[in-house]
Amino acid sequence: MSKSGGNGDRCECIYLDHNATTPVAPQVLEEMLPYFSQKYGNPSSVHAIGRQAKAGLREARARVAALLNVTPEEIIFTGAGTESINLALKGTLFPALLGACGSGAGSNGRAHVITTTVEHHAVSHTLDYLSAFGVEATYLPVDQYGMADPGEVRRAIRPHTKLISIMHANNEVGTIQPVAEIATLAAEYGIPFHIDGVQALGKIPVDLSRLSCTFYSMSAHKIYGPKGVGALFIREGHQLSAIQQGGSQEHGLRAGTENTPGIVGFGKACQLAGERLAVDMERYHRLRTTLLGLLDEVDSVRLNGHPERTLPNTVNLAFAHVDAMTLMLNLSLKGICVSTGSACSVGSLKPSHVLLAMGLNEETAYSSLRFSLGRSNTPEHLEHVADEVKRLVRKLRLVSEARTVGVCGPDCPCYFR
Amino acid sequence: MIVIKLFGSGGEEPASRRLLDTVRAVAARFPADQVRIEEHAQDDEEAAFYGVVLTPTLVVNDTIVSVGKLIPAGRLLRLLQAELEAPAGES
Repeated sequence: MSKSGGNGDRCECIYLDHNATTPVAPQVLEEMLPYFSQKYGNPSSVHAIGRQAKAGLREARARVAALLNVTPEEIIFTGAGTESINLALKGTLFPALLGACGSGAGSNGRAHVITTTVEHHAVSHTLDYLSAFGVEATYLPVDQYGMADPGEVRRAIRPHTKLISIMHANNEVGTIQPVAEIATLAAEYGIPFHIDGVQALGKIPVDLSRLSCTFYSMSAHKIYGPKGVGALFIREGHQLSAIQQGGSQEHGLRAGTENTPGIVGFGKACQLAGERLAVDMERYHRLRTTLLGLLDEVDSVRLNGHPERTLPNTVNLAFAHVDAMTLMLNLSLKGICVSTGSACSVGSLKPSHVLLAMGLNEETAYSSLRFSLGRSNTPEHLEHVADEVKRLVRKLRLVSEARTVGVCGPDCPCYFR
Repeated sequence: MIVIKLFGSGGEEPASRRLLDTVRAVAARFPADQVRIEEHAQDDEEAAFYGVVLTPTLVVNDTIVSVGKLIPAGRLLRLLQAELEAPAGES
């Protein structure tokens, strides 16, 4: 075995971690390259080379807007999906606390936000931060599939609720939230609704002319675009405060010279995603079914997430009595890249907050592995992956408490069969 | 021959020390020429190869079998017996 490529830098790997990030598509890279050293102007400059860059931004904005079926003026570019989320949350809630932007009327400077227990840390940690400023947050529970209940959203609304923020699709288990129902509800009460769309964009149809949310956050690198670029949809007529000050870029909402190559790449990635969406969805669905079928041969495997209302590329499985971190590292040694939802922190592991919120116990959460499919994956890849998983699970169960494996009783976790 | 690699912080970390004691006790039940134990630092080249993120990490014949946990002696014994019984290339 080579000592040079053990755990990271082998290039012939089978990559099944597309919810973490994706490679930049060749067409995207090609479109970006001139903007590094030829069309390198500052889009705010009025001379010819600046106008070239500005034209690139304009086209990218139109492409992102087209994927969402909105107008380009409703799109602003940011430096990441996380930044888009921060802007939507802080840009709405800080003015509400101050009674500004017309949203503080009758609230006496109070601001309440409704969210769920399965949000990405970009949302939950931002709300933790905002709590120090007095923002109150209600974290709605989810069911065993990770799905929020619109009825719970309605019951959580208070007179000073200033924002509802719920993800479109979950990054760990793929469950798609009932955002259309929640959007209707939010509109009924006149409450701005932010959707974290980072995982949904490019994987399922997103038509914001029909989905009446106020804000929609996105990231380029999840859809075969570059890292360091995000976007936020802000529905026309809705106000938001900037959270960083400086120049007047992006309608004054995101000061700082635009990352032109990245934005152009994001635009191209959106165009490709739109063209490929139906084919990709169908293909991911077939691959997902194949992977589930292959791994169904392993005893005591549980599907985490909704069996149908899910991202077609995401499979999260709990392998009872197997430590998923150990399984993941072994797969990495074999050139297979998957991920666990556990977070490594200060020399220990924390179980996934998403899986715990779905009611899994810690042991099951620690035994869960996420496979997220992408354009490069083939059925042959999945057969190889399944063979390795079966071999490793069999071996790792030798060192674990495995007496109940394969015994289907009331507590057996293998309910997806 | 079974090669066992233990990644830890030597004798300074109680968990690594306890796992090393377990590994030595189990290995002693096999002929000396059938089991070799290697101790590694958590940040050496081998650790980088296996992607060691927590200690102690235990590797048996190039399979990582435990990350940041202790293994009961009986389970390790079961694994080593299976390794010796496995046909060549299937371990």
